[in-house]
This record gives sequence, C-alpha cells and structure tokens, in this order.
Amino acid sequence: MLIEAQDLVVRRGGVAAVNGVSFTAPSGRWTGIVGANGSGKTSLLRGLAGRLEVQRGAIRIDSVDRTADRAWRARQLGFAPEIAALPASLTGEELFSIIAPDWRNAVRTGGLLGLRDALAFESFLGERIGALSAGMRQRLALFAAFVGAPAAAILDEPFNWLDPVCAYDTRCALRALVDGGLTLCTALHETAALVSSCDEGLLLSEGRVARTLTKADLERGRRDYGAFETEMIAVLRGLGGPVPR
Amino acid sequence: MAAPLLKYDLLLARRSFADAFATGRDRLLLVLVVAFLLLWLRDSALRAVPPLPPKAAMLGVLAGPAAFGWTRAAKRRLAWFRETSVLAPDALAARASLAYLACAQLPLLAVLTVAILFLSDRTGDPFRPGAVAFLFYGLGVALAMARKDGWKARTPRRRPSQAAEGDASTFRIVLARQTFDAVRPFRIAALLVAAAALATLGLTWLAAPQSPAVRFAAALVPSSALLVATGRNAPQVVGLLAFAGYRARAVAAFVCALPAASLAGASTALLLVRPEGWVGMLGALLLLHLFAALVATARAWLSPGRSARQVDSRVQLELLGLLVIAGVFAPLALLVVPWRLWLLHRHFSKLLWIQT
Repeated sequence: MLIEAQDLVVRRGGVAAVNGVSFTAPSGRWTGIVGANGSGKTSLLRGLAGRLEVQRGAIRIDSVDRTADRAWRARQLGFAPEIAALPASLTGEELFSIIAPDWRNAVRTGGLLGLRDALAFESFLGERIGALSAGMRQRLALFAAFVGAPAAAILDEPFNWLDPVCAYDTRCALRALVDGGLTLCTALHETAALVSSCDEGLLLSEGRVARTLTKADLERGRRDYGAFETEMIAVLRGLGGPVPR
Repeated sequence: MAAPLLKYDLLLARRSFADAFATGRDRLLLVLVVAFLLLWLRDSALRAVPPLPPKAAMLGVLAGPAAFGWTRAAKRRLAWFRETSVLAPDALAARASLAYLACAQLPLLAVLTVAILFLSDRTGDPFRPGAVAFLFYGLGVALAMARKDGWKARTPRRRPSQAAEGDASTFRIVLARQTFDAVRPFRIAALLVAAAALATLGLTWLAAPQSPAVRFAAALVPSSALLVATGRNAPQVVGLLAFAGYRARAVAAFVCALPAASLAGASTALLLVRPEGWVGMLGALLLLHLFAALVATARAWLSPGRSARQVDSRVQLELLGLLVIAGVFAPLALLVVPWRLWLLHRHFSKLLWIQT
C-alpha cells in the first residue's frame, strides 16, 4: 500500500501542528519520522490514519485520493492507540475481541504469529488493562493496530516503555512484516532505531519537513552512526529544535 | 454497524458499576438507597394526583434540555472514539455513528416514556403530556445535532509539581486543582473569595428594598457560583495523599479551606450590609457552605483507588439517597450523614494504616 501525503495541514487548538508536509511512504517499506516534542509527528500520523481532520492538502493511497474519506483510512490503516486511551476496566482479550471478534484467526492467517510472540502478551491477556504496567499496555496497544490484519500500519513511538528484549523482538517482527509487504510508518524518538530498522526517514521540525532521508542516507548512518546522529541533531536544532543549555 | 461501540460502552458501564459496588458494604448501601427510593415513590409521588397542565409543561421543559445535554454527551463520546480509541474505524463510519447516537437516546427515551405513562395514568390524558415532552425532546436533539462540537484533548498548560515537600506545598497542589491555576493558586483563591464577597455586598445592598426571596437570592448567588466553580474533583491528587501518609482530617481540611474562606467573606459582607432578615440569610449561607464542605470531604475520602467518574457517581448516588431519606423521614438524614462520614473516614484511615 503506497501512502502519499501532499502539502498536508493539520490544525490542533487553532495552531497548525502539521504545516504543509509532503512525503511518500512506499509500499512494503518502513518509514520512520523523527522530530522534537511538539514537532507535529503525532498529528501527522493521526491525520494520515483518519483520526484527525486534515484541513488542507491531499492523502493518496495507492494513487487514489482518500483525503475526504477518513473512515476508509481508519479502516484500512492499522493504528496503535495511546496507552492512556486503552480502557482500564477491560481485559486485553475483551479489547481485541471488540475490535475484531475473530482476531485469533486473523493472527494465524495474517502472518502475525511472529509479532504476537515478540509482544508476548498471552500471559496477561486475561488481566484488566488498568492493572498492567505501562510496558504491558504498550504491547497490547501495538497489537491492537494489527488485529484487523491491515496492509499498512501507523505506529506512534512504538518502542516506548518496552523492555530491551521486547523492543528488539518487536523491531525484528515488524521488520519481518515489512519484508512481507506491510507498509509501516512510525514516529520515533531515537535516531538509532531510525538507522537500524527503517528504509526511509523524515525529520520534522515545527510542523514542517526538515529533511527527507533516503535508503542511502540511512545506510550511511549504519556505517558511521556517530556522524549521522550529530548531523541529524544539527538539522533539528537549526530549524527550531530545543536550544542547547 | 454500531455494535462494537455499544458493546464497548456497555461493557465499561457494567464494569464501572461492579467496581463502584465491589464490597458488601457498598452493595448494602445501594440496596438501602433503592429501597428508600421505592418507599418514597409509594408514599409521596404516586399518592399525589398532579394537575395536568403544570406537570405536562414541566415534563416538556425538562425533556428539551435533557435531550440536548444527553445528545451532546453522546456526540462528545463519539468524537473521542474517532480521535483516540481503538474503535475509530467504527466511529468514523457515518451509518455506525448515527446508529450509535440513536441507540444512545434509548435510556433517556425509556425514562421519558415511563414518566409520560405515569402522568397519563394519573390524569387520563396520555396525548398532551406525551406530545409536549416528545416535541421538546426532538427540539433538544435537533439543537444538539446542529451544534458543531466535539471532544477535545485537554492538555494542561502548566503542571503543578507532584513532589510535595510539606503541608503548604501539598495544600498548594490541592488549591491549584480547585482554582485551575497551578502558578498562583493562593492569589487566585484570594481574588475569587474577595470577588464573591464584594458581589454579596453589592447585591444584598441593591436588593435591600426587594422581596425576601430576591434578598435571599442576592445573598446566596455569589457564594453558590464560587462553590460550583471551585468544586473540581481531583481524586488523583487527594487519593494520592492517603498513600503518601496524610491523615483523613488533614485532607478534609485541605479541600474545605476554600469553602471556609468563602463563608468568612460572604458572612462579613452580609454583616456589613445587614439587610432585613440577615440572620436567616446567614443561616442559609452557613448551610450552603456546610453542604459544599461535606461534599468536598466525601469526595476526598472516597478518592483513593477510584477514578473521578467513580467518585462522582458514588457521591451523586449517595446524595440522591440522602434526599430520599430526608423526604421519607427527615430526622433520619441527620443521623445518616455523620454515620456515612464516619465510614468514609474509617475507609480513608485504613488505607493510611496499611501503608504506614
């Protein structure tokens, strides 16, 4: 599934959180979006996934204009909710059953066994979400994006709160899904995850694209991560990132 | 189409109810409230034969705002589903969202229908009350649907420090929640109390030549407005105090300080003007602030381990129960209030005892 955004504007509370962003998330590739807090990553992803209204611009999916059809985008693009939005008094099993009553079948037929094993939530699936740790809730939230077996998924900072082992396994499982044809867009807080896992990259600053990173750029980053990180931070600072103390 | 949304909400409602009445004592309280409500219905409401026009008009007037508020709440819920929840695809589908809004009307329509049937049974005229009420209901729904609004994520502009170092800083945090100002809560609280006192002074002076009802209203309205505006419930803050080692009485003092200051300000204003019947007004002011302080204390002592919604539901239910008890046998209410406060105090102190 090819996702194209053109001159996108998403306003939040009267402010253009996303201000004229254009980018392409190619089919079967992992696009990582990095930026400072408040740079517009979450608003951009929510706008793409139909969760927020887009005030200007166009969203084309597989070259078909879907800008006005938020419901279609929400149905077709898997989206992980914030862990705070998960219902505390339900169990993970109940949550998944409400989203997709035959979710266990979808896991088997949709090639999601690897991701399920990486997230390893079976042991606490019957417990109330409110009683779980942030990491456990994050595992459920991540999997909630996939229970409908979507062809594309949008994840906002997917590795937050995960322990190192789970984060590594999840990254590998997501990589395997992308290699199997999934289109993945993720907001990330670390340039290390961008370099190690993504095929394309986007640096956001104050709601605008600060730089687009190609596969070659990321390959260069893998070879010399130190220089790459310094360069990325300089780009983000130069366009209004946090001022160093 | 709307099935997942309804299933989700029904499951949450069922769980919230079960959580709110999880212990034997909670369930006993519920049974008592229901029993008193049935008694009250039997002894008071069902015995009276209402004159038709005023009752029908009242029902109609009540149905409109109720439908408006209820529909707006359902719309806000739907907007939350669309933006944040895992069921956004269902909430964004036009038919599913309309079906959800339609189904959300059912509980209120059921209550309205029962009220109409009751009225028609007492008066023998089923048509007029029903027509008036449903007309107003429809108008309320139409107005709410026409209004463009939705759920908005509230991100606090400034956050008070969570690291309380002592009583003063903890009180500051509690006051910050009540005054909606994390930076200058003491100053804002003082300004609010002064404004209410000045308003009481001005209004009682202006209303001095008016009828007793107007004079009473003038004395009570500024304080009522202040108490409503600052009666914000923050169980995550006051609930935490129980686990942090604060005693039940200290927490009650924190949440009652603003009503106490308001009482002092308004009473002083009233004493300066001394309009006709000022002693009665002073008594009414005292009762008003006592009620606000009792509600604030009950909320605070109910807070540990409960969400804001659970606390509010419990307090509302208990107030309803108290109203029914007062309606059936008023002196009993005077016994029930301290008994219930004692139970809540024990509940709060027990949590403290477990932690220390």
